[in-house]
Amino acid sequence: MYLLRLNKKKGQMEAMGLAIIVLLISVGFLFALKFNMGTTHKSVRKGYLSSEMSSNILSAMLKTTIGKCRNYSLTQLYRFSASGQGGMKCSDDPDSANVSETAYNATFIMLNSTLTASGRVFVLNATSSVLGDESFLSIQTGSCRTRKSAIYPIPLNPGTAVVQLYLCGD
Amino acid sequence: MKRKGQISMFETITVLFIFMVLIALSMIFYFKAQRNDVKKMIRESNRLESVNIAERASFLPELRCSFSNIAVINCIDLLKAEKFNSLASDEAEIYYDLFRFSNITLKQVYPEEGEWELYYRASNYTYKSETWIPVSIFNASSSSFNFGILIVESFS
Repeated sequence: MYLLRLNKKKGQMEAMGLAIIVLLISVGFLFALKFNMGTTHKSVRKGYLSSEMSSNILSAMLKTTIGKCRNYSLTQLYRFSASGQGGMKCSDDPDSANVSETAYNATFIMLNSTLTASGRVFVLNATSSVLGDESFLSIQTGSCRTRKSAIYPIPLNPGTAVVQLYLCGD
Repeated sequence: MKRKGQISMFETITVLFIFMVLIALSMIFYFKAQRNDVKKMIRESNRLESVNIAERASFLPELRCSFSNIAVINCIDLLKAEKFNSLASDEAEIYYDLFRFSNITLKQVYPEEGEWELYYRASNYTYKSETWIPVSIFNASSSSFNFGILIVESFS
């Protein structure tokens, strides 16, 4: 009788031990699920915002009228630079800046005042098929490991210039 | 025999008590981690809301540029922007539905700097989230496009 009671107790203790182990495994599984499920969602949104941002910046920037260069748009200045006419003066004054310098300065001011001011590192690179896919304008403000980019093609006659803006860090 | 039974029951109770304490500690840790995650989600949601407000503002017919009835994307008409603040004050309830509690400012970066407050409605807030989107600013007086940003601070 005593032995029977002892066996029952052993059985109960074993069952309780198994229940405890199952509970601990479930809690551990819950933690693992929670920590694994959070990240993908955020990185997709951040990446999307970066590529939208770079596309919008390029579009707005290239539309800008450069008053000190015969009121040409920045797209026009890029077109001249891409076609090998970057040395053309911006006004009749022989001491005035040329098209390439003006395009570079305007681009730098606009991107520096927005992206750099908000702590973003960027790389801008403009190439031209007329110049054998050589870069005619390039600005980089830091090292760039991960990046999202936008491309803005500018039709030339003949050929195409491509302006690429990379926002770094996401 | 009685003593043995009592000791055995005491052991069982002790084991159960320690187990409950372990479970309670792990649940406290879990819920603290959850609370931090929820705070992060609220901040992300606020930031997304301020991006939405900026997109809504840039597409408003009362602000955007149009030429021959064709709207230009990411372009704000400067003359409209200068008058928008008084319009938003007169029609506060309509614009509250669009912009809620936020501060929307148009800031010109190139060629000259300039700033225009478009909408402002604030409340006591816990979270403030700021975002900006780049826009062209069309000046009809000189028929030129300038470069600027639309800054949105949303409060919640």
